[in-house]
Amino acid sequence: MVVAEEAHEKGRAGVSEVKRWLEATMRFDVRYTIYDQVARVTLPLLEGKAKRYDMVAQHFNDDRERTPSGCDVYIEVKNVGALSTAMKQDKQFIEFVATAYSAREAGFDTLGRDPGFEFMFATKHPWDVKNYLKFATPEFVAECCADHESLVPSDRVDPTRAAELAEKLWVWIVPSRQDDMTMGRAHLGFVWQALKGGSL
Amino acid sequence: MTVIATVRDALAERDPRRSIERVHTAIAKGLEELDPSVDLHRTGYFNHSWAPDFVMSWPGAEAPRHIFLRFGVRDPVVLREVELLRDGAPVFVGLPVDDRAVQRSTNGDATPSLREARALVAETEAIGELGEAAAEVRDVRTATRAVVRGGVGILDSGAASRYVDSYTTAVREVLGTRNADVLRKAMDDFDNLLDEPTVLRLESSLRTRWLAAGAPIDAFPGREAWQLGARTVAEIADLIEALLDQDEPVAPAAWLEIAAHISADAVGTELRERRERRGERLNDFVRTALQSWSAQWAHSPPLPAESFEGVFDWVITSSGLGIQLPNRMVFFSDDGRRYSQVPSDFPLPEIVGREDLLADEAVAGLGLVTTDEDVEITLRETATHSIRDLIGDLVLRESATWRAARISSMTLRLPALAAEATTDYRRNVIEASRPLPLRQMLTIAAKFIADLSNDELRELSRSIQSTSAQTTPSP
Repeated sequence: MVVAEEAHEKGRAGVSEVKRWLEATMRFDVRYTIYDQVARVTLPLLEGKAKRYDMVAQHFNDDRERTPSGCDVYIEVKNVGALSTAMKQDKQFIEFVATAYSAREAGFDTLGRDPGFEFMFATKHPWDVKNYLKFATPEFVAECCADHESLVPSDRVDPTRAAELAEKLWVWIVPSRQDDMTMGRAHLGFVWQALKGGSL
Repeated sequence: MTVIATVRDALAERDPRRSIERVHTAIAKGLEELDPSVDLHRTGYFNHSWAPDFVMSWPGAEAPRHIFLRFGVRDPVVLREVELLRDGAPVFVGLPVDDRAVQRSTNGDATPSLREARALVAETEAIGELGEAAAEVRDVRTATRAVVRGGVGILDSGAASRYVDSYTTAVREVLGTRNADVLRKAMDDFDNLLDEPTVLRLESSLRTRWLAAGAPIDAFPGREAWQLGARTVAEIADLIEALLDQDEPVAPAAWLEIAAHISADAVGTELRERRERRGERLNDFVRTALQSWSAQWAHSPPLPAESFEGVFDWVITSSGLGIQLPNRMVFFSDDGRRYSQVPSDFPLPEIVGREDLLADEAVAGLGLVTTDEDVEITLRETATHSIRDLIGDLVLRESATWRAARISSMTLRLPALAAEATTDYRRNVIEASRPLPLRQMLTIAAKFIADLSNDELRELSRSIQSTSAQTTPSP
């Protein structure tokens, strides 16, 4: 199998896994991935650009009715194997945050209100341990935007919006044994039964 | 619009919720076109990792089948999903993906693991093509229904086209040329898309049509050896039901062959558990089968009122196999316990007005009830007068008591059949000393319980003449 194909297959497998694990939490429904309908996982950005995410998930509240929480979570998946690749996540995450800010701003411009986007960076490998706890802070968001003026012109960086985005960022370090922690279909079936009052 | 076009249009809908709803509706319609009797329960999920989009069931299903919609269903990653979702004999329906989305296809090596998991991977386009084939030729729906219920492996356009070809070839051979080799080859191709139990059921339906067309059943090139005589009563009843319900006419020879392997009582007992029937092809079946059948008991309750509707129609009701006379029903059984709970307070017939009946030389005994007596009269075999003569003497005395007498029972001697038959008028039950030809039992009920006129008896006799070429004895 050629390298490109192998990479593609690895990428697809990674997306499929993350989809499965997220849905097993019962708090997410991942309806579209980049392998399904690209348009659904693509968000317009400022300056006429666009960003294609790996998947988009609807998020649900933790109530019996499983009501939607009102936000769609756009997810980037990093199926990282090697340390060298993991090290690149420093820059990749900064770009991810800047892109998220840009997408959210573009949403405000189009809809005239909060577009309800949240953003998740799902990776199998930690990075930048020293700064990890700062990732979801307004200051960090502003720094990311400053690093990517092509995505976020400086006059669009707003502290309030940066603070809002910080609240809407998800960073998920997926352990290699996630499958061993995930509720399987047998148990999920019981949960579904309880929710729907039927059988699966 | 084709299914695939409808789905593409739905996927292009801006609003995600509306898009999903329209996709679900389109796929549901596509599946219903293949099998109109399926019940598709929408779970509210879409393209979910573990929750199916639909839970599909159908009449008689042992377990439901789970339907998952997937983009890019031919990607090898889907095989992993098949492992995770193998419960529920899953069906993965492939939705069309964006041109921009990168896809890879599984190769043919995927098929064994799909079959093992009883999983079907079906492209939307192929579902649409099967649906179009079923809409064009109604017969093909038997085949498409089989795919919905027992399809395994990969269903793409090529597989759909080959499968329809195989089935139409098989039907053509069954109804026409009957080339066993061609038929066997066509049926072997069913394996490419169906699990084994479903293949056998489809073969069974073709075998039924083979028999119905008048071909010898042993000549059908089935996968398993199949002999009518080795079938259980339930299996023969399945065959009878299929022949009663199919569109094509059934050759009398087919009915005769079946009747030789199942009793009238068994037919009534089995089919009454399934659904009630009246007349039409059931008449054809029974009238042909009569020459093979017997019964030892009969029950003839009165109808609420005389009816001209459905007179002489054969019926299957909760009481079993029977026939409607102008004023009564008659049901037949080989088990006397069947009528142990029937009412025992039917009004008894008056003796006055039945003198001609009592003149029948078969009448050898009579039970009478008067205001003061219960009387049993039995003629010895050496008797030189009839019951009618004896009663006539009593009645002619113009005794009010005897003129008001009612018949509680009657015994018939049937020397040609080496049997006797006793009628209990309190219960309207006839009991013979041994099984009698069904035709004979019917005549007894018609004459001695229903008290049909000679014209009516002739009508009855005409109605039960078989339409087969074989000569049938008159009652």
